[in-house]
Amino acid sequence: MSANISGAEKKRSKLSLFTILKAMTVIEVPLMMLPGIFVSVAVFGKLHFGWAHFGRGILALFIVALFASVLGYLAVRYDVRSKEPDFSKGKAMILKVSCYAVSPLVSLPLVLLLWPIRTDVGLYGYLAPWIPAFLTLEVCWVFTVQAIPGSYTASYSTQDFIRCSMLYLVPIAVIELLRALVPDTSYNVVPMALAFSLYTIIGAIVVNQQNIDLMMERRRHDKSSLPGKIRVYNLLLICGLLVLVFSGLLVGEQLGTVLVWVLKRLGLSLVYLIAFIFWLMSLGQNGDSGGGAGGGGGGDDFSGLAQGAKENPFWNILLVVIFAFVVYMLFIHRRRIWEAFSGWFIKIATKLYHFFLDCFKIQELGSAEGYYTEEAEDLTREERFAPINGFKNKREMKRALKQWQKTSDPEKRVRDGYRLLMMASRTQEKNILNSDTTGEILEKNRQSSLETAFMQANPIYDRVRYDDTLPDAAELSGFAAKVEESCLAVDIKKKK
Amino acid sequence: MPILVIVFLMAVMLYAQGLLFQKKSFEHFEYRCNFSRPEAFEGDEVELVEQVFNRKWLPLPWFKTEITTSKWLDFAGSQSVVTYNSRFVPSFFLMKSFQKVTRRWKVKCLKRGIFDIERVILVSTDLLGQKTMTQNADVKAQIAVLPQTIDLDSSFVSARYLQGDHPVKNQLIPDPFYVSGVREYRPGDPMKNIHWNATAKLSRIMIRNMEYTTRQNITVVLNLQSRPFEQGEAIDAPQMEHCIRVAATLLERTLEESTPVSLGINSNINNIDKETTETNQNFGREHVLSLMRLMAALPQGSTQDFLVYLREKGESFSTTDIQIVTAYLNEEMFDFARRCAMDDKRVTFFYVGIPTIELPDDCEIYVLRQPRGQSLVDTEGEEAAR
Repeated sequence: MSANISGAEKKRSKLSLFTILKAMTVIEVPLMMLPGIFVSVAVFGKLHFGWAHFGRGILALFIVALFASVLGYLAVRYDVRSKEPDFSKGKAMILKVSCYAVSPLVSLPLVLLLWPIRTDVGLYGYLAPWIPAFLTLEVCWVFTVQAIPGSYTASYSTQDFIRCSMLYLVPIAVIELLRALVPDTSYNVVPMALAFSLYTIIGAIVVNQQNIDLMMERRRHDKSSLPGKIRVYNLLLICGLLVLVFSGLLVGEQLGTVLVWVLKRLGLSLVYLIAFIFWLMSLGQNGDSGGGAGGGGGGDDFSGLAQGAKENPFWNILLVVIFAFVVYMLFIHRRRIWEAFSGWFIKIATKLYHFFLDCFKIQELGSAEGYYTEEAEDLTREERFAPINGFKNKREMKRALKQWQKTSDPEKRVRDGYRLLMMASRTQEKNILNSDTTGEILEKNRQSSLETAFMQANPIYDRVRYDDTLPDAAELSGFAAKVEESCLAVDIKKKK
Repeated sequence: MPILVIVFLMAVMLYAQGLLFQKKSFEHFEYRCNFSRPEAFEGDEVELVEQVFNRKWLPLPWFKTEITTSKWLDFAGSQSVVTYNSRFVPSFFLMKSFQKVTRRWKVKCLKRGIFDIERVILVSTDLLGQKTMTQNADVKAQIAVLPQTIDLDSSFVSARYLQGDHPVKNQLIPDPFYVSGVREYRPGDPMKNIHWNATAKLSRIMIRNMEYTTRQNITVVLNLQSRPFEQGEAIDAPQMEHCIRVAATLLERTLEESTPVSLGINSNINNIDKETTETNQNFGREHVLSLMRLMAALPQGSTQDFLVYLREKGESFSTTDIQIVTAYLNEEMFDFARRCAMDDKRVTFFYVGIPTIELPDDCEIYVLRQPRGQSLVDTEGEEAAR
């Protein structure tokens, strides 16, 4: 009993992905409004912007958004209930109107508290910067209330995502311009970069999930037929992409430095190598004269390049050798290294995937209702390569035949000829697998034009393939003639 | 200018991922779709197997197939959309890198016919839905749904209710290969039939008892006109389907005795006007199955008036029995039966309809038994498809 209860509680505690997405679209509203605060402070605050301004702005916006969303949610609830026959519609209407009417009661005190009026600077102090901040908060309030009803797909779109990205970009461009024109500016761009990053991450996740929903809505499919794990999988993919971008930003500079260092070392290695070769050459020409500087014209040309090597040639040569050895080892073990890393990566991704799957309520209607059963398996090494197809057209077949005719090695001629027969069979839409035995191939070609060809070719091929016995000249020419005749007789239909 | 770097990098990444998915989504990608078996009977459940191979590192955010097939193949329940004669089923997949997904849909064959997967469209997209890629899949999945057989004994009743005496045909010479047992010798019995072992055992002359047999062969004639003078597509399609089921049952019954059977239909699989179908006579499961396949491919209607068909082809039916399955009866058909009776051919009518005319006593007619409250024909399939 207790186990049942705990199980039920566990189930209930799972989050609905849609609720989270809806919350994300609401959070996007204050983030969209942040450039408004940014502009007002930058323009009216004498081009000074730092963490304090950013903190104030984001605090005010989120407080306003919180109040607006609570009121908006209540209005939506009452709006739904107003459709019930015994419910007074007046209440819902009052709440709807008050949703917008009470906004100054929250935003005005906030603005006055966070951006106090400065009387010491005259009219400018009265106006700036609280008026634009107040207006921004009012707009944020209205947009938040409007974002509350409906599904998350209705309140946010890809266009909104692009448009609001521009809201960030335009003021930044203006500020940059002003900064170039007015030297007395202290402008910290990092907070804005942080806000923009947050906005982009949330926006990308929402747009990614919307992609699935909008496709379903456009084609009028029942959303319940969508496997729930597709959502989580997409979430993981987009998060992976974002992690890649932001980690690239974070360690990009260091990575660049490393890359430059590696390139420089490689260049230097080349120089050392050339210098070393010339030194060896000059050693042979000038007996014990030593060095390369006194050599021929070539030595003079590379004397500059070899300057570094001259200082400590043994150490540099050792470095080059070690470096080359490391590169060589990495190259020859590349597959093993890649497998180790990819295995490690897959393990982490799988764990994350299952973690997310456990976090959210997942609906698997198609399989749950017994419409279908599904089986997913990783492809084996052999399956990773597509099976050999038939000839696409007569030209391709003739070219392959011509190339095969040039083969003189009898073993290769038999094996390649048999491959051509298999391709001819596949052209006739026979399901020939790479794992099929010669007997199976013959069975699949019964009562077809290739039956006699396979009957003749199978024993020859089997002997060459498994018995290492080469056919005699007459047998080989008969085999070749049959292959040629069979391939040319195949009817190749042009694919549309 | 870190913000500009972020923006630039973001824009590049978003564009690049769209381009990547657009170029690579259907590369090293394979889609297969087929039925678990090529043939099934009406009402059977088969599997539609979708196999998707993603032979590359790039995973797909989602992958969808849009399957269009006949509405008479019932699957996917509420996920499917039925319009006129087509069923449209979207099927969503999650494709990781180097993965194979096999999905088996449970398909119920509602009606006989040759059905194929008419069209499959493969749809995929990038992570943000900027680009949607579609591709037509080359699918050659086909299934022949053979007509269902019914219980004739419980479905039909003789119009005469077996009242009165009926002449039974007897042969002059008994069949030497059909021994039903031994009996005591009677004067006149041929000596060659004496069963010597039994005679020694019982100390009486015992003789083999031979049965009289006749070589029976049947022509099943199917009338695909639901009304007299009807041309082309049948007005009462469900009734025609039932006629086909009755004909299929008659064909199947010949398997018990390995009776040679042929089939005649006033229609043809290619729906060519004035052309009819007459098959060769043969016996055995393979032959009956081939006739059922033929019936599976028949259109829902006639290509020739049934009376014209009887006039033109009736004389050529050289079998001992002619079994006519029809949705209506009239005097010309009875005349045909009488003419055949004169040639020692037995004509039996299987009448799939509500009797509206007086049925003659000299013709062998079986009428569909219609229990109270039960529909004349099985409309279960129609209901399910709807």
